[in-house]
Amino acid sequence: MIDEHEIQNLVSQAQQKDGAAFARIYDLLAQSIYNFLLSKLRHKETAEDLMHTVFLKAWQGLSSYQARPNAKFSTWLYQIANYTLIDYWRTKKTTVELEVVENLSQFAEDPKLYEEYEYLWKAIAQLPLTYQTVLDLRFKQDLSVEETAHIMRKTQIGIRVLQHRAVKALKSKLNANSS
Amino acid sequence: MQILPDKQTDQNLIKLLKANSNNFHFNQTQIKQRLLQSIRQTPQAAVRIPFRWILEYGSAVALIIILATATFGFAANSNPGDKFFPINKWGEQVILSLPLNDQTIAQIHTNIVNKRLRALTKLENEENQQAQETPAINNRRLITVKESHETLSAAITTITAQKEALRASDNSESINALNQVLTRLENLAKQQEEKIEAIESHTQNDQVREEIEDQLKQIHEVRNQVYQESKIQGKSIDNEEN
Repeated sequence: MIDEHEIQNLVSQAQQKDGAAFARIYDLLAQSIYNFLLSKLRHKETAEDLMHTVFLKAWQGLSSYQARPNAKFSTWLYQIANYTLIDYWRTKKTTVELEVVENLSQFAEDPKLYEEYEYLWKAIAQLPLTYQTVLDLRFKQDLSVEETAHIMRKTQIGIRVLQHRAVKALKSKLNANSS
Repeated sequence: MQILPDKQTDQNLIKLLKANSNNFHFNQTQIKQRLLQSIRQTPQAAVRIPFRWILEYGSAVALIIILATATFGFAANSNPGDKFFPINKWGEQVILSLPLNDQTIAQIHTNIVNKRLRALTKLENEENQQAQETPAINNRRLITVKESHETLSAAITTITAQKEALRASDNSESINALNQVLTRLENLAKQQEEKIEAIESHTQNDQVREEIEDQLKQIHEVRNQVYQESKIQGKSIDNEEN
């Protein structure tokens, strides 16, 4: 469990142009950001490139970051990651083709677990990006509705509606794929 | 082994999503090194002031300006003894401290003296309608008379100093222009005396009447001074003495 207090201290140091403090922030948060990116991009090198972009944007925009009560730094970082992903998606591709994606089980820490539920990940990959994002943030990253709303720049009601539609769409995909 | 789903409820599906979070391997160190190299070459952006702040503080500043303008506008019509008169007076001092030419400064002084004369006229008219003398009325009388004297003295002091400076540079034209201002001031001083004499005649309180009489004498002296100064033309002092 990442200590938010530690991260905020590191952020304050990094805002004074302390590269070492920023490197420590990277160490603490890189894994979750990478998981978020790879699960949607399904291509390792692209995900790593975008990881670099996300953290570089975070460094550049750090001076304008202001800690808010009940809001984590990672929420801000996820926001940058989400918009970086949207920008990339807009320029590169609109739909995920199953044939071009990589088999992510080779990168998973627990490949057997991944393969066991590969049908689930494939179904998710066929959903629109916003559905994938809300499912990822709400259930895989286990973020609250408020945090998810902040990351996706939507209202909390909007997130609940989006989540409901995403789950419904996923169910349809699973049923369609199984039949 | 893949587990194919049967018809799952939303809750089961959500449980499935939550239970199967998996970290993915990546070149963490390599990306970190690349990132650190990049941030060495990339400065942090300057602090961006959120638009919301600009809107909020801009609105607050605009409101302050509106209130200040309204206050000054209201205060501009205030007279000695009024609540907003100190603001009015402060505004006059601000204007006089601006880097303006001699004639403009002299004209502003004249305008201020004229304003005090109007205050005296207003006071005289109010007194004609007052049946009873009160401490508030006496206080107002004294303040108005003192302000009249002070503004007249300030005007003559400034204009005399201006004329001295102009005499040193032998600027006859400007000196003559200032003399015309002095002539007007002398006329205003005469009117002030008349008004103050009328106010003094209405005053029943001996102490207040004595103070008004004292101010009146001083205004009379200043008026003579203005008259004398207005006669001094644009010649050097040595020539005048000759």
